[in-house]
Amino acid sequence: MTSRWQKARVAAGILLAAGASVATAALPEYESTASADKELAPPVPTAIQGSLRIGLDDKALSAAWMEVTIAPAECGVNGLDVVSARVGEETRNSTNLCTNIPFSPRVRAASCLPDQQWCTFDLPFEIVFRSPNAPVPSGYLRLRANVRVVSEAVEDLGVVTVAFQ
Amino acid sequence: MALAAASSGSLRAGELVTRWPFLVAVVGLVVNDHFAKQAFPGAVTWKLSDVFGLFFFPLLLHAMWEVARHGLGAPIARRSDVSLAIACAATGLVFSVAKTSAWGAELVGWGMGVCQYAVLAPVRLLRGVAAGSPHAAVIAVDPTDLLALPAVAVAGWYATRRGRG
Repeated sequence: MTSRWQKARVAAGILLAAGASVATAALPEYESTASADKELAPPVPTAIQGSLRIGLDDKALSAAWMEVTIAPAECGVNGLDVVSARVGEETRNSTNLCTNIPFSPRVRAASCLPDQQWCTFDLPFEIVFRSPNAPVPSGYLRLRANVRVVSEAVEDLGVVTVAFQ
Repeated sequence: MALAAASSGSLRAGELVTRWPFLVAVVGLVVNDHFAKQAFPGAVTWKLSDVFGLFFFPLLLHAMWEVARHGLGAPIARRSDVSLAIACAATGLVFSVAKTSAWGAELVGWGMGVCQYAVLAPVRLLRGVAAGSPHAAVIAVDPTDLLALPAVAVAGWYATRRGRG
């Protein structure tokens, strides 16, 4: 076997593997989303606790991961900042948490029976505000929760629902 | 001779990437990601890509290092166990961080996204469309994916064994 042929094989192997790595990162993503709002009367509390009831089709359970975002819709306005937020077992602490507080609770962590066609579970959350008693510009405090189920391969993820409890 | 034999019976620089276990892992990753995950969604196909990737990626890093090093005129060591160990450790460490922390997943996702962009942007420009901007690849934080980590050790064992001829 010639050295040139050997070089070509090594180069081809490296390019093939590098290409596969990039192709994996370039996989198409499919998603199903849902959102819910909850209005609270002012003033801004010190903290809000509650839970989100999330419903997933079993198609979403098979190959997806899930991202939950929860934040006040008016976050950032008139000092209405969040200093810490917890969804499920995940907690975010920051000096300036605002409109995007993404969490990634794993779909498979949900307590669903394997043969269920539909999975409903509650995800507790807690949001701690920086400025309790701050004025709320719109007259009420609106919490918004977004649920996004993402899959690299499963195109039809079915319906996702979310509601405040 | 750029890819001269290291020593009698041992592999030439980068030659591991031309061997069938490496090629099976690369092709397996592509087939699993693009076909099997959709056809057979579930835990097995979900983890299989990690196993394939964790097997071939340290070998790819090791081969690239060997070839680059030899291309710069360095002599080929009889066995480059140190660079192999570093490639395995780096692969395992980065994978573990990405799979267990949101910041790690985002950081690695950005790294993958930039690599992806470096390949895709010229292709887009050649097709006459805007190159766009890099986006982070989405990496699911899922500590159970660490079950695939032994594949790194298998890769190290395999490369060491082959390197000894």
